Amino acid sequence: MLVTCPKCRSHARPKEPGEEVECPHCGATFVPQSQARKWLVRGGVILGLGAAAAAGSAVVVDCEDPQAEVQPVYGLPATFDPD
Amino acid sequence: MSVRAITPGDRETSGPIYCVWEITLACDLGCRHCGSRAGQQRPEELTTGECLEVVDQLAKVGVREVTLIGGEAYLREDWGVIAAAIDEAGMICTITTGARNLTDERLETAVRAGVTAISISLDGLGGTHDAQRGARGSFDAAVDAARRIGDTPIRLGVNTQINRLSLPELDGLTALLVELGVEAWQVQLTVPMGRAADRPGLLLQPYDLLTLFPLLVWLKETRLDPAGIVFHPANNVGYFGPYEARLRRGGERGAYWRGCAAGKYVLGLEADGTIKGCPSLPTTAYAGGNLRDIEVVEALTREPLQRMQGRTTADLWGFCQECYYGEICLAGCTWTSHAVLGRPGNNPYCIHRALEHEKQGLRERLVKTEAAPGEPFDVGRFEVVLEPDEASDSTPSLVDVLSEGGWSRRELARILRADPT
Ligand code: SF4
Ligand code: SF4
Ligand SMILES: [Zn+2]
Repeated sequence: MLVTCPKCRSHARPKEPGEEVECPHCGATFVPQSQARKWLVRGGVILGLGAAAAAGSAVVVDCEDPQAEVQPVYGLPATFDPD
Repeated sequence: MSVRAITPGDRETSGPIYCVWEITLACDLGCRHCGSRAGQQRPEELTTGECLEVVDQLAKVGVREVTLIGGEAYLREDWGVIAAAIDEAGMICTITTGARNLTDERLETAVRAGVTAISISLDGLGGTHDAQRGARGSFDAAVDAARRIGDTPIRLGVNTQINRLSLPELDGLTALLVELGVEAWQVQLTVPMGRAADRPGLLLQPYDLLTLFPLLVWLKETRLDPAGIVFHPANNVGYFGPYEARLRRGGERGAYWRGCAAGKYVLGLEADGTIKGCPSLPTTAYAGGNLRDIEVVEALTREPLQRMQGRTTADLWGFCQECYYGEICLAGCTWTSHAVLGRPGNNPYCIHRALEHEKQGLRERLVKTEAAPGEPFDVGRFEVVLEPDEASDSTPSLVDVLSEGGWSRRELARILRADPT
């Protein structure tokens, strides 16, 4: 699962849950939001987020792939839903 | 939700949900970039009865949408019968066309057959389109057909080849799309297959992606989005870098390129019954048999389709082998990498790759080393030259063309001349 960099919007690959990610394109470091939320639930959050903030990290949203589409190049754009 | 959206169930079964079907190789255009070198029909195209049998088989394996292509699909006399059978079998039928002779009568046939949508190919404006399509007046005919589709219940899309000739005209082209009221615009890079393999001067160089991607973002955000036109970068326009989230369909919701779907969710059929994992793949390396001899369901369990369903990083080589995104990307479009370098797993047409090279003051340039034999869906061979990014070459600068307001006739002819090698 990839996450988007809050600075340049490139995708980055978190290694471990809760770990800071470094953007491969611009070098910014940030913490994916859903991981920050998990820390919140566990009660260690404020510390976690604080530590992330102190390290100059931004918090961004995890990438889900809600509607990945198959689209070979000869094909018609798949905006054409049946209903 | 689009019928082409991959559901969790699809991920489990990995069955084809989308099929692109060349029902004839006969064509009324002579496109200089045509991958299948279309013109004459194939010697043994499937009969009407055989086509109807194929429709049943596609429905049985769970295909949800079939796009009819050619050649030019409407040149087959029974194309309306095939389209109607697809609709009756519960699948969506769509058509991709050059629309040179998409008459009112043919449009009526499409409406009656239940065709849902038609995508018209426009590869630039006026003379640039005509020169690439090999027929004077083909641009006007296509635009006229687009307007007439607007008067039917059929939904309208446009698809465009991006290459050295069309790139400087994308701005003007998108203005036309807005005027035509199209619903969606799909762009794809011209790939050196078939007649395009004979014309290396027509292809973008990998470093041209550094010009193309910011332009696409600008066109999408300032022109297409405000007009409600959905932008679709095709599968060979990628991958990752700062543009993926802004260009990929669903990118704002987190969607990103997940690897080639050939043989997994996609099928391609040739007019003589040859089955492939994707319509664009080179026939010799990727044909999975003929539907006169085996059923679709059986072809899916055999090589090479089965191998395509289980591709891994073991396929990767060259730059893609070391790439940060390699595991997810698997070198982008199989067709594109195979057409350029003779096998999948290493794809120089990648914006992430171009940006990584740019950071080091380098760029990649493709040099043709082997001609294509001259058959439908054939490929030649290219070599990737890594060089300092200030290196000069003989291809005219796209920025110059933009500032001069378009292509001269001489330049069009020079770029489209077939390579003697
Ligand atoms: S370099 Fe290759 S593996 Fe990496 S993103 Fe580009 S095409 Fe994909
Ligand atoms: S080969 Fe390319 S066009 Fe065909 S399915 Fe794979 S990514 Fe799509
Ligand atoms: Zn970044």
